[in-house]
This record gives sequence, structure tokens and C-alpha cells, in this order.
Amino acid sequence: MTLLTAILALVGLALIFGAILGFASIRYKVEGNPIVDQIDALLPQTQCGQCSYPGCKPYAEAIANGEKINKCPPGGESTINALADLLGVEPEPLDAEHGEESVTKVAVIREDECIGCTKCIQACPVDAILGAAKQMHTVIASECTGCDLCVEPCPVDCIDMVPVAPTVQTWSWEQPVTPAELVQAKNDNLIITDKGRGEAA
Amino acid sequence: MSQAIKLWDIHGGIHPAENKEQSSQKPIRQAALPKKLYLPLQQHIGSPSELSVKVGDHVLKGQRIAEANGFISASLHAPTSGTVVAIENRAIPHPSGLSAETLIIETDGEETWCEREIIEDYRHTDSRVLLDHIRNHGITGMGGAGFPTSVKLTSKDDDHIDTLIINGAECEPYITADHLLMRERADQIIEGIGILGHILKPRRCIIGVEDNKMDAVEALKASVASHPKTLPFEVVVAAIPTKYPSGGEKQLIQILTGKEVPHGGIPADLGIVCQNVGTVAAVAKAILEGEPLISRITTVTGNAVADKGNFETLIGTPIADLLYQCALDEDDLHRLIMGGPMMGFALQTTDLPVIKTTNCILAATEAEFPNPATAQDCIRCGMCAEACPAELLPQQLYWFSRSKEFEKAKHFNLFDCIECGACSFVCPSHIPLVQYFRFAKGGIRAEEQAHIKSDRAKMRFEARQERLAKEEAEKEARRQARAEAAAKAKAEKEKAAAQSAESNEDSITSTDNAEADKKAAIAAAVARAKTKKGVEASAPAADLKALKVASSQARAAYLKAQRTFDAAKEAGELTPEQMTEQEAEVVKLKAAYDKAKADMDAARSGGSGTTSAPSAPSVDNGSQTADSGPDLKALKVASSQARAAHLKAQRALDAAKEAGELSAEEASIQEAEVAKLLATYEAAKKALDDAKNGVSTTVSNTTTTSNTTATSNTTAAANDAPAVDIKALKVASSQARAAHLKAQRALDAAKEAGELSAEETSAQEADVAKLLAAYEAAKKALDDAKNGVTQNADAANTGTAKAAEITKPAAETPAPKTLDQKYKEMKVQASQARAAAKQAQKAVDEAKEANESADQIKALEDALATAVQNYEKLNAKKLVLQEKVKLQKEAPAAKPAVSDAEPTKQTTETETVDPAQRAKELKVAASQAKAAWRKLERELAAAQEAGETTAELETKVSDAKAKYDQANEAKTAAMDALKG
Repeated sequence: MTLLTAILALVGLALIFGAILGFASIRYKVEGNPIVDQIDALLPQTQCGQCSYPGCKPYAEAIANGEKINKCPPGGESTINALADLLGVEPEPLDAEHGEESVTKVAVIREDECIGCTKCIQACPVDAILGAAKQMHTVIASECTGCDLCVEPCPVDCIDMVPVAPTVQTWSWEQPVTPAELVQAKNDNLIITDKGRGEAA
Repeated sequence: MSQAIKLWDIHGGIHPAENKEQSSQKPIRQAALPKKLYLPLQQHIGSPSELSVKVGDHVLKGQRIAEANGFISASLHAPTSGTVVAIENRAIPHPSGLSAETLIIETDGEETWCEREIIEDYRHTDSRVLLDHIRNHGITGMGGAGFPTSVKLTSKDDDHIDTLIINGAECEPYITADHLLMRERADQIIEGIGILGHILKPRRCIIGVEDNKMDAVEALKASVASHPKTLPFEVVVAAIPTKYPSGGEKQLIQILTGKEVPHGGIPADLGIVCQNVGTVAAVAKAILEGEPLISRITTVTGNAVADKGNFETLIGTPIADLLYQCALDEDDLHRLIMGGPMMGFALQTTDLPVIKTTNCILAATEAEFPNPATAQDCIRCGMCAEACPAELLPQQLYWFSRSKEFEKAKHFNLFDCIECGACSFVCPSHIPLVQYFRFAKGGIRAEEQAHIKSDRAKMRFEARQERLAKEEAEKEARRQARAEAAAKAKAEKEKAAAQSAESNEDSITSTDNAEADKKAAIAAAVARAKTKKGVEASAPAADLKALKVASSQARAAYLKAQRTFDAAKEAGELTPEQMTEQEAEVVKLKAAYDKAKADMDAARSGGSGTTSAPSAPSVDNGSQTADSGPDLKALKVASSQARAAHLKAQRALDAAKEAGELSAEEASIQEAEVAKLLATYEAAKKALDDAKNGVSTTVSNTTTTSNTTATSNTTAAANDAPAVDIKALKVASSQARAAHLKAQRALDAAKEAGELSAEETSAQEADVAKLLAAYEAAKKALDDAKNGVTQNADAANTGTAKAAEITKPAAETPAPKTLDQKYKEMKVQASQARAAAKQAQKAVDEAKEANESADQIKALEDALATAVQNYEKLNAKKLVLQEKVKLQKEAPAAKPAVSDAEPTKQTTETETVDPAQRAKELKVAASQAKAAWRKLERELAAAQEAGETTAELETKVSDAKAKYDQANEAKTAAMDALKG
């Protein structure tokens, strides 16, 4: 009898929890793969295609499906680290086959040479080039992701990729150099020179 | 008056050597007026000020020269009278050593003041007016950061200010600017406190001064006692124990009130506002004397200067001038620092101005400030954590910063670090901790910025994708609509053909007109005409029928054209030029139809009275048309089948390609198949066209023997058939072109992907060339056909002047068009050739990179040379054609005869007509030439680097350069002409 009660109780519990879980799986069903969006949020969104995927989202999808995380040169090491954190894998060095991490660049059209062919406009993935047929084109620098995609189509070779110069607003301190280099650096900005003339409180 | 208040202690802190007595001995002196003042537009935190003067303007002392731009910003004023001589980018005193926009004033030495705005009775003035006044007078925090004071004083409604804290601690070694100010101008500070008190309405005010400046404390106490009216609230002067960094805002608040500013919060959250004594004095000057922030007290000290002391310095004074006054020994100068030794930064040059935040210039000797000792490994002694006034874990933050684990550093409250340098000071391993923290802070900020930017880029990218998808869908819809319209038109045409065939049959099989009457309205009309009127000529009934056929054909053609035109118009696909072209065609067709109808009517009326049966020729004519009808149909079906097959294959190929399923070899095989199908289709089409031509010739054969009215029939038919031909050929030609382009693209893609070996590439290139040839053949056929139309029409029209009138415009229009098209075609070819040359170049480069055998490279280089030659040839042709087209365009269209008769006149016209257009073209040509030249130059450089022989390339480069120069000259001449 006791045995039967126990079995019945367990079966009953199993049914109840099964029903709850079944309901939850339908009620709280997640559309799509949420990890793709999380990965996509970490990618630099230059849409440059250097990873050999046609944009950041497709690469995010590929990563979710097991692609390597080290194919994004614009993102560089920090993106790889963030992806490794998110996915719980070991960070790898950037795959040199897809390009190297470089300084942020912005496309600049030499405007007096532009013939107004609109080819770069069609190539820009973020609509950052302004112009019309037979009119001079120009790049909206604040929207340019520096993806390089407009350089190739230009028939008169008038697009330059210019590194973004730091302004007083965007400048930040560099990482301190190694001890050996530190000795060399005469113009180092550290002023901890009163050493020995005071003590910690 | 001022009673002792309870003081709290802060965590950590250090006691560096003070070194203050060197500069605090002498009273504040006025610095000499420099020849030039350099005023950076950004001397504060926030956005740079906006210039309100221009070069050459004469400015007066105190005149506003740049206005606050945005909420967190400050105005800038002329420190003395003089002339604005330049506004340029100059190095500014900033740790980065970067340049920023700087306004340069040449002083006139007269110190002429502008009109000053003074608020004498501030106690009865609204605090908003006072805040505006402070903002307009450019007051920023004088302690170090330079935060706009008016912003700090603008409190939100909900946080009532309980305590006003005046920061006179000046804890940093060497600096005595605030000390001297408190000692000598205590009254000014007290007046300023009165003003701030009026704005903020605090319950009490505490002035915090370190106890190493007791003379300043006494002066302030005396001043507070003598200003009972100014201060309607409790004012306490508190002497606090000397300890670095008690002068930090958060630290001073903690010492004086025991409250800690929460993480991410501001003192106002605690009901506290903290202001530096210098700022308070500047506020008093601005309100009571109307003097904006144009000067400040700057300490000049350090062992490299002999005459140390404090100077009332105009903002913008070059540091070199100031140091010169203090007798700087340049040989002794080892390091120049702006600010104090703990939180200041080193300057690279003395050619920098004093700005609003320059409280100290420290010219140190090497003995005083030796180079920092070599950093060693962290020994985890924990002294940094003991010294940290913000109670952080510098050691932990150091590890995270060093390994760029910014997220974790943030988690350990990196942003609560005030960068006071206490940790670095106590570090026995001499690790530059603060520099690591600054780096990490910058890295985190940069990441945040990058994230914001990437979000925006993503948004824009997605918006673009959406737009493209929408455009594609719209295009598809238009295509569908067009296809439907075409199908409908076809159906109607077939119906019309069936009708005419029926009526023909009627006339052949019986003379019983009454039956035919019932069947169709046209037939009825014919019957009526036949019964009522007689036939004039030898075979009037047959004529009539032929005319009827011609008329209905013309009508069908007209209607179809009209429909397609309307559909196109609705879909808004056409450019205005295309529209007018099509409209002209429709009108033409309409005219043809009208003509045919009129002729038919004329024939009908001419045939009145006659009731004879149709004669033998008419039967012939009818049966011939009827016979050729089915043939045509069959051919048409065959042709459309071939076309469908071709399109299907093409689609399949495209799909496969997109899916990326095919290897390059498979793709090429399939492409070959597509090409084959295309060929089949073209053959079918040709057969169809031939058949059609046959029909029209038959028709014309039968009718040329008949009277003049019949000629119009021929004309109409001839017009109709070739029009279809041309269309078909056009389609074929564009298909061929599309196939060619696709192949080209596929080839490019494959090449880029680096999938193909050089041999495969060349094979594919050959394919592409083949396709190009096919395209050209198609194009030629099209042109021929077009010319054929003209000839046909001409042949048909020789008989009658009337008919000629109809076709003449048709014959005239294609001629100029052909030339234009030829030019375009040539342009396309030229650019294709150029692309081919480019590709060949690429192939050569790749081969070189891949270290392939010399023979292969040689072969590729030969290919490149031929491609280049090809391109140049084509380009030359293109240019010739371009000239021709221009000539033609410029020649007045109304007078075609003139062009033959007076070619010389025309050339003179060309030169004068439309210089703007010409200039533009020349510009394009010039930039193309430049691009070519540049490219060659790059190649040359690459070759030189690679250590290859460059003689050939050099000549090429010089050629290209010469070409470019020529083009450029032409361009400049044209531009000048245009301007002139």
C-alpha cells in the first residue's frame, strides 16, 4: 500500500511538473537564437566583410554555429576577448588571413577629382556617402565606419582612407611602456619625483 | 564668529615635501604685458567656444571674443586691447601635446576697457540673472579641471543646497596661488561667498584651509568678521590638517562634513556645493567690477627660475614670457610642468600660453625632479591601498588595466579614482599606477564611444538593407506588371489577327456579304461599302481588305505601344528622355494607323457603286497573308520557347551561383550551356524575323502593283515588322551584354576568392571575351536592323511622297541615335577593356606574389600589354566617337542639311557651344589620366621596391604624366575660358 502511494505520488508529481514545463516551453518560447544578437552587439558593425561574411550579422550567426571568433580585424583583440567571454571559449589571436588590426580610419573623397559616378555610394554599407549622378560626392565622416569598401569601386581613385587623428576631446593616455622603455622616455608625464622626501600617512 | 567645527579624517593620503615657501615669500606681482596673447578656444571642460570675432578685428579689454557653445561651455574674453592677428591651430597646454584652434591677439599696450557690466546690488537681483552674468563672463573652475562655474551653481529644484564649501586647501606641493590670494584678497573672496550665498541660499558656508597657511586663515577670519552684512548665513573658516590630497573636492567634503559623495554622484546630491577660492574671487570680480575672467594668479616656481613668486597673469600670456620675467636658467631647466608635481603634466615646450586653469608653472632642475626610477614588479605590499584616499584597490586595478580587462577594472570602481598619484608616490616598485589608470579610463571611454558608433552603424546598415529590399520588391512588381501588360497586348493582337484572318476568309469563300456583316462591325462597314458603293479600280474589294488588314495591324501596333508606354509611365520607370522617345513612337504609330484608316476610307468611298466580286490578285494576297500567318506563329512559339529555355538556364545558373554551390569549372560549363541556349534562341529569333520580313516583302510585292493607297499598307507593315525586330534584337543584345557582364563578375569574384589558378583564369577570361564578342555581334545586328528599318522604309516609300512623310521622321531619328549608341557602346567596350587590363594587372601581381615561374609571368605580362593596348585603342576610338557625338548633338537638329553642306561652320560652332559641358568632360578626362598616372607610379614604386627592372615602367609613367599634364592643361584652359 505504502509502495503504491509512493509510486502514485511520484507519478502525480511527474505529471504536474511535466505539465508545467510543457506549458512553459510553449508560453515562453524564444524566437530565434538570442546568442546571435548578443554576438552581433559585440561586433564593430563596420559591415566590411573582412571576415568573409557579408556583414556583421551573418558573421554573428556563423559564430553561433561554431565559426572561429578571431576573424574580425576592425574589432581586434578587444572584440575577440569580449566574444571569448560571452561564449566561454579561449580567446585566440587575430587570424592574419583576414587582415590586421589597424587604427580607425575614415574615407575621404578628394572632391575636385570626383566625377560623380555614384559607384562608391552603392558600395557604402551604411549610406555614409552623399552625392548624386554627375555631382560631387562626399563622405559623412561621423557615419563612416572605415570599412574600405568604397575605395575599390572608384574609377578615378579619388578616395583616401585617412586615419582619424585624435582631438583634445578624443585623446586618451597610452598604456605605460615597459620598464626598459620607461627609462628612455625623457618626456614621460609622471611626476612622482618627490620620492624619499615624505612618507605614507 | 568663526567657531571650531568638527573635522573628520580621510582614508590614506600622503605627506610629500611641501616646497611652498619658495614662492610664498613675495606678494602677488603683475606680470608684464606680452606682445602677443594666445587664446585657445577650449580652456574648460565641455564643448569649445564659438568665435565671435575675425582676423583683423580690433578688440577691447574684456570684450567677448568667443561665446559659450552649448550648456557645458564657457565664453572667452580679450585679456587686453589689441588686434586679432590670426586664428590658427597651435599647440595647447594639454597632456597630449595636441594642437587646437587658437586666437592670437597682438596687444596695443593701451589696455582700453570695453564697457563693463556691473551688478552693484546683487542682493536684489534674481539668481538667474547672476548666473547668466557669471556664464557670460567666462568663469570656470580655477582649481584645476576648469568646469564652467555657472553650470555647477545651477542647482536642480529638488536638491536644496545646505552647505557651501570653499576650497582653500591647496594641498599640492609647490603651488601657492590660492594661498597668496587668500592672504592678500580675502575681502574679494568674502564678497564672492556673499554672491554665491545669494544664488544658492545655503544654511552655512565652510572655508577649508590647510593648517600650513595660518596667515591665510587669519586673513579670512578677519574679513569674515568685517563683513557681517555680506554674509547672512554662518561662515566658518576651518583649518584642516595638512595632508595630500585633502584639497580634492570629495576629500575636502569628507573632511569638513563627514559625508562621502556616492559613486557616480555629485556633491549637490548631498546638498553641498564646493568652489575654489580663486573661482569665488573671479565671481566677485565679474559681478562687482564687471571684469570677466581675463587674468589669474599663477605661481612660477622651481629651482630653474631665480625669481620665484606669484603673478597676476593675463590669460594667453606665453609661458616663455612669464619664465623670462622670473629669470629662467634654461640650461638648468630639466622638466617644465603645468600644475603641481602630483597631478600636473609635463610640457614639451615653453611656447605655450597660460590658460584659465594654469595655477602653477613649475620649472624644475634635474636634481629637483630626476627621471622616474625604473618600474619593477609589483610585490603586493599593499601600500597603495593604504595610501588611496578613495579607498580603492590600486593593485587590483593595476592588474586589470595592464591586461586590458576594462570590464573588471570598472567593476572595481576605477572611475572613483581621482588620479591624485598617492599610490604611485608610495609604490616601492615605482610602478606608474596612475598612468595605468588613466590609460584604462581612456580605453573604457573609447570603447563606450565605439559602441555608440557601432550601434548607429548597425541601425544605418539595417535601414539600408530594408530600403534595398523594398526597392527590389518594387522593381519585381513593376516587372510583373509589365509582363502582364505584354501578355494582354499579345492576346489582343492575336485576337485582332484572328479577326482579320476571319474577314479575309469571308471574302475568299463567299461574296455573301450579309453574313459577314453580322460578324464584325468592320466587316459590316466593308459590306455596306460594297453594297452601297462600287469599286473604282481593278480590284477594289481586295484593296479594301488589304487596307483593312494594314489598318488593324497599325492600330494594334499603336495600341500596344500606347499600353506599354502607359504602364511604364505609371510605374515611373522612365527617364524623361526615354518618355519623350516613347511618346514620339506612339505618336508615330498613331499617325500610321490614322493614315491607314484614312486610306481605307478613301478606298471605300472610291469603290462606291461597284459590286463586282473580289478579283484573283486579292485572293492571292489574302491567302498569302493567311499562309504566312501560321508560319510566323510557329516560329514565334519556337523563338519564345528557346528564350524561355535560355532564361530558365540563366536563372538556374544564377541561383546556383548565389548558393555558391558550384565550383568554378561547373560554373563555366553551365555558362557555356546558357550561352548555347542563347544562341539557339537567337537563331530562332532570326528565323522568326526572316519570316516576318518575308511577310512584309510579300505584302509589299502584292501591293506595289496596286494603286498608291496600298503603299501606305506596306509602309505600315514595314514599319511594324522591323520595329518588332529591333525590339527583339535589343533584347538579345542586352541579354548578351548581361551574360557578358555576369561572366565578368563571376570571374572577378572567383579571382578575388583566389580560387582559380592562372590557367583557369585565362580560360575564363577567354569565355568572357567570347561573351563580349557575342554581345558585340548582337549589338551590330541591332544596329544593322535599325539601319535596315531606315532602308526598308526608304525603299517602301520611294513611291509616294505622302508615305515618305510618315516614315521620314522615323528614318531620321535612328541615324543620330546610332552614332550616340555607337559612342556609348565604345565607351562600354573601352571600360571593359580597361577592366580587362586591370584584371590582367592583378593576375600578374598575384602571379608575382605567388612566385610563379618566369615564363608564366612573362605570358601574363604580355597579356597585360595587349589588354592595355586594346584599351588604349578603344579609348582613342571612344574619344573620336565622343567628339562626333558632340558634334552631332551640337549641330542644330532642325537643319540636318547644313551639316553636309557646311562642315567647317559646324566645327567652329562646336568650339563655342557649351563650354561648361566641355570643361566638365575635360575635367573627367584629366582626373582619369591622373588616376592612370598615379597607378603607374605606384606600380613603379612597387617594382623598385621589389628590385626589378623599371626602365619600361618609367617610360610608361612619364608618358602617363605627359598625358595627364596635357589633359590638365586642356582642363585648365577650358575652366579659364568658362570663367572668362
